[in-house]
Amino acid sequence: MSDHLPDPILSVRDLRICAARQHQILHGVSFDILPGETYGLVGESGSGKSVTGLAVLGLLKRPLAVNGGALYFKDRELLKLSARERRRLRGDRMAMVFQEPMTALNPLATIGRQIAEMFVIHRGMGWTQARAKAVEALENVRVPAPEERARAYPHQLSGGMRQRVMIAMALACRPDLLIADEPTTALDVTVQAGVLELIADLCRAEGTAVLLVSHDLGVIANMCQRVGVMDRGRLVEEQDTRALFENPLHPYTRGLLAARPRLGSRIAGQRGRLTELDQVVTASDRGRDAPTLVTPRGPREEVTA
Amino acid sequence: MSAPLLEIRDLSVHFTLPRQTPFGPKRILRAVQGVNLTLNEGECLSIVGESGCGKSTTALTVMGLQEPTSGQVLYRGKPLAGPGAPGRKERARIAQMVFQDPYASLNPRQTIGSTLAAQLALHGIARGSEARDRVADMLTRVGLQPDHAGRFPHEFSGGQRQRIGIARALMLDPQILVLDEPVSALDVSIQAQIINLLMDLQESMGLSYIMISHDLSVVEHVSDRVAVMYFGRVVEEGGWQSVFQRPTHPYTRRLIGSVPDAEAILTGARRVPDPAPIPEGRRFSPDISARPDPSDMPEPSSLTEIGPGHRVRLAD
Amino acid sequence: MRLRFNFTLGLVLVLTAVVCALGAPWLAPFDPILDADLMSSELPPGGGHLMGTDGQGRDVWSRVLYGAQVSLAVGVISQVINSCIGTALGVSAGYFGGWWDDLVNGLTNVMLAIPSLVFALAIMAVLGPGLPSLLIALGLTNWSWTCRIARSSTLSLKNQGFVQAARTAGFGDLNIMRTQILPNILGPVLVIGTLGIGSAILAEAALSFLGIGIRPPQPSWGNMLSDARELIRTAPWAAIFPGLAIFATVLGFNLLGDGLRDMLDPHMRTRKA
Repeated sequence: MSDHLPDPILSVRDLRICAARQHQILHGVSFDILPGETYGLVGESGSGKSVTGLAVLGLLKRPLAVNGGALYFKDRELLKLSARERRRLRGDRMAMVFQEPMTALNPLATIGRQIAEMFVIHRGMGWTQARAKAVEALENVRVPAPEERARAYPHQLSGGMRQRVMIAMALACRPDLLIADEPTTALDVTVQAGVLELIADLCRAEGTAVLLVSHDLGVIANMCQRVGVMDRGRLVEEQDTRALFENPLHPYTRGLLAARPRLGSRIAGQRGRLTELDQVVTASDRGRDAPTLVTPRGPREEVTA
Repeated sequence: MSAPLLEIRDLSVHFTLPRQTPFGPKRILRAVQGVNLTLNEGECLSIVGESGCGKSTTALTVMGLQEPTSGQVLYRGKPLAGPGAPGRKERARIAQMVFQDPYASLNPRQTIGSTLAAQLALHGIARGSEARDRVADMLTRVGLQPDHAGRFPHEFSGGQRQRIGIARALMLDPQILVLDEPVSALDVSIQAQIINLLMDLQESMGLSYIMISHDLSVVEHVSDRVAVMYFGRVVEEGGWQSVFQRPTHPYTRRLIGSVPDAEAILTGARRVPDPAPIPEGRRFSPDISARPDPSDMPEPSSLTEIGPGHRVRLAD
Repeated sequence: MRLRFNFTLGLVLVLTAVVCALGAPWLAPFDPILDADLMSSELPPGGGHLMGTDGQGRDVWSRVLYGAQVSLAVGVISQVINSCIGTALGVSAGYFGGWWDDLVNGLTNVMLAIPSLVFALAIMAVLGPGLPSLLIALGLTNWSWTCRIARSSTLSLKNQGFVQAARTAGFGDLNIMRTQILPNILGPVLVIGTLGIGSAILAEAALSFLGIGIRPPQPSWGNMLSDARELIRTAPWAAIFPGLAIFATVLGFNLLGDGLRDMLDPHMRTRKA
């Protein structure tokens, strides 16, 4: 085990989010993401995993608002920055990949132009140079015939290709942190594998840290070194990925793991009845304010998939 | 042998696409091409594949929501869809459908009770207090409370709505339930509850299911038989054990290999089981290394038996 | 807050117009037609005449009140006709598709291409002036927007689970359109209808102004304006007050329609929260 962990790139401290000043959505969530680390937030809909990612980016929409805690990005307190400073960080030092690439892309601009725009805004490049960089970026995300695709409009691409374009845009300025919110949920399984591999490869090559938000434990296991499990606005457990699956600490995590229909787990001659979550975790174990169950980080090399 | 409960015979559904240029050729999208499937009594047949493979179109055809271009759907040997099909009301007593999106599948301006009871009145089964009793009974069966009948859809969670969708499909006591991605819009924990409910109902009411899904792990748990579709055709078909334990067509293998399974990834054991052998000198069709153009005529091929009830599509 | 203020203002203006129309026999101090007195023509507002008198010595206030009856009746009734035609055509076109959809679409586009006022003018020319022909002319010429909205809403609804479920449960097409689709598109149709009342009132005024709408001496805001044309220098009040009435009422209906749309739009609802 390494003695000195590097300083975290993102440190979320006791983050609280409320809706319309009365509904508490997030009840004090804390976690760290180290440089180059892929950190997974897993949970069901309404657990608060997506709003956490949006809060880090400063993209919460009214009536949602942060009402407590702190967000340290490198050594800056994000919540104390002006809107203008945060906007400058976004797309440059931190970037986002959304679930639905079609709605996140401008339907009226070619994808080459949309990627080039990132270089023009954040790097101050001229359009000709930015366009050349955009083609290069498309090549990096393994889009075939990038020259040609740069002239295409979003609707002319398949879902998987659009998500690759989103990744190219997000990684264009080599951010320190990528926030990926269900990046492959809208894609077919055979396409999903390629997109995940792409995110993993590019981020490893650049040392980009990733906050991966997903409901799919398989995707989390595939990508993350460290995982936080969220339930009802609280982080109930945080462990290294392998430890989480081998030795889940919180009853909710155990329930989540048990309720999955797993490929190859049906016994011949039987009906494949599944374990239901509430057979494992009682209602009283959920939605309580309790400290997050955390185990220390293991040696970093070993957990890299 | 008596006729199977449901038989899909050489079903094709083609759509005409708009011309790309004003005087360009008409293009035809072959969404479903020559599909043959049978559903036996009390069985769950799953059709798996990715978006655009024709699985949903096949299901809609069975439900009479899509007209077949050619081919037939037979219920106990009599036409259910296509030429000679019975009227909507008659078909409603035979087959019903559970929809994917629990939010869009209930009329936001009707109470649950009136949605369920309207069917009973339409078919002259029950009215008034008798209908209310039946609705209450059905709500209990799917794990809801009888007094939920007076509520509107927006008062329910996604899982509860899917239970209501199942209740609605069962009101007329049909033989066949077509389940279109019944759990893909639900959370993991809710998925398990709905899957278990569907399996319990199948047993207690003697239902037969056609399940459309892209989620192989769900399919493995629920199905008796599985058909894998790829670009409008069935490429592999067999009992669940044959398909999942001897996946043979390269596309089936790719599908199974793509499912992210946490434990397998962490232990480093990629586990696509070995394929069954195919007859010598034959090759698979279609070749999945190239993406087929669904508007082209496919090469001649046929489903060939490679094990008991286990068939894969090989080029002729 | 701003939204609610606009809506309330619209409601107040519209209700005022309705009260004027219904209460005209009690509120009006003079008969709008018979109390003509050339001796007391073109009297300025004040004294016995709240809004003065017109060129024939009739009380402008009384005529504005009775004119409200005509304007509102024409606006509401013709728009109800429009909404019914538009909804029926739009829903059926969206639901059935095919040649019927093509036909309705073509018809809608033709209707949109001809200015509805010109179309109404042509109909009036054939039917002659008067209230019934005005209702027909305006009721047949302004349904295209309703039709478009109804059609596009139906298109997005008909593939939703609950409509498909109704089909698989054996319900007939008319039944489905009535019980499943209609309740879900009533909101936008109502909004378009409210806005349409405003434009129908304007159309009535325009046609009456041109002398082919409501036949004088029966007062309508349009023919009052028309009559007051020559008096604009000598007795401007005879033109100003009916003009203001038109302005306030049309504004009222527009604000009401906008407010209704905002209230029915879930996006606006969250923004307000």
